[in-house]
Amino acid sequence: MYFEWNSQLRKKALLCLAGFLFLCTTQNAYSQANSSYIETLEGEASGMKLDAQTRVQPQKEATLNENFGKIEGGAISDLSQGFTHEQFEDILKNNYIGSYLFYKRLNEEQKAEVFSYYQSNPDPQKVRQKILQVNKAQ
Amino acid sequence: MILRILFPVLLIWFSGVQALDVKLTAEKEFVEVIHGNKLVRIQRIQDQDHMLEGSFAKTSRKCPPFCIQPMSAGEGVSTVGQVEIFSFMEKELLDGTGVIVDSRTPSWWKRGTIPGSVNIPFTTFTLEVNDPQLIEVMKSLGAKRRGEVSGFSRAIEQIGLMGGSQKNDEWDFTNAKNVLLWCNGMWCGQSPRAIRGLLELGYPADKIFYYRGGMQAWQSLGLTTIVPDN
Repeated sequence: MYFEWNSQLRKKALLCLAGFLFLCTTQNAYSQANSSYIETLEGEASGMKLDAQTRVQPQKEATLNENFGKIEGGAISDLSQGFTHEQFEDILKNNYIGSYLFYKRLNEEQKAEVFSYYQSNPDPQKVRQKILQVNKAQ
Repeated sequence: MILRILFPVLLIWFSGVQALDVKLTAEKEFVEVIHGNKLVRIQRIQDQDHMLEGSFAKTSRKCPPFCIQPMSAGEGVSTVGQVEIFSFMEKELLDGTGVIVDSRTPSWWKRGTIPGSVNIPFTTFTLEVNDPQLIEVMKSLGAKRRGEVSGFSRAIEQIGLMGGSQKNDEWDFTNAKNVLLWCNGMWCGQSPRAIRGLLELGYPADKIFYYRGGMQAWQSLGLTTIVPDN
């Protein structure tokens, strides 16, 4: 009885050990394959060159906020003041570029609607929502 | 009479508003995206005699690892082309509901990328679930790491209640963004690996988009690229 129990226990221990060794080996092989893949990738990347003509051209790239506060009549920091339609567009363009990109797709009538909304709701978030709403209705 | 016809033509000519000969699509000349703090215009090379130069003119690389990838990167994941990317840039990317991911390792990214992309290397998605880097990245995609969830709550979620279809034991994907992933193109396995990693984390497949053409297709169409600032 004792011998049988001992033998079964030994079998189980051996199975566990074999399982553990198998896991270690496969894990090791997996991480080796992974690191070899990354090494090959890095090797290929080191000589990578894009076609120079596809590089973004300086005139096609504008740094945001470059005109920040440069509008005549004082520093522009938010939408809380009563700006003219032109100033409003400049502020959008220079400070709220995401909203501006949607705004500029609107027709003149819709732009006027947004501007009119801004005059009574000078909160940038609300103006943004309004622009999105008009944009969706297009 | 001649003046009446010529005047608008000259006006357009002198105002510098000239239509591009090589457009993106019949209706669209360019798209604009925000890259870092820059507004970047994406258009095609206008020189119609130009032949592709640089590394993407190369036709063959050793396979494995640079093997041709299948059209689908995972069940439920949509494979997209350039036109869908332009639309993604104008909608999801702008209104903050989508992210374009350059899933290549940083050494590829720093040599040039598609404007509007962020770099999340594919290796990120195989990190341990509690790794702060993974948590941060998932957060940027709109997924939230869940705290301890009681067995009872989980059981309710698993029958589809309490927004359970958008959650698993580890993550809450309720506000997950649409993610468009790309790498070097048809011969690149980096974005498919990233997609597999995302799916294993439980990211909803219908919010994942695979741009299989990647940089290879982008370059061959002469589309604008940008070298990221460090």
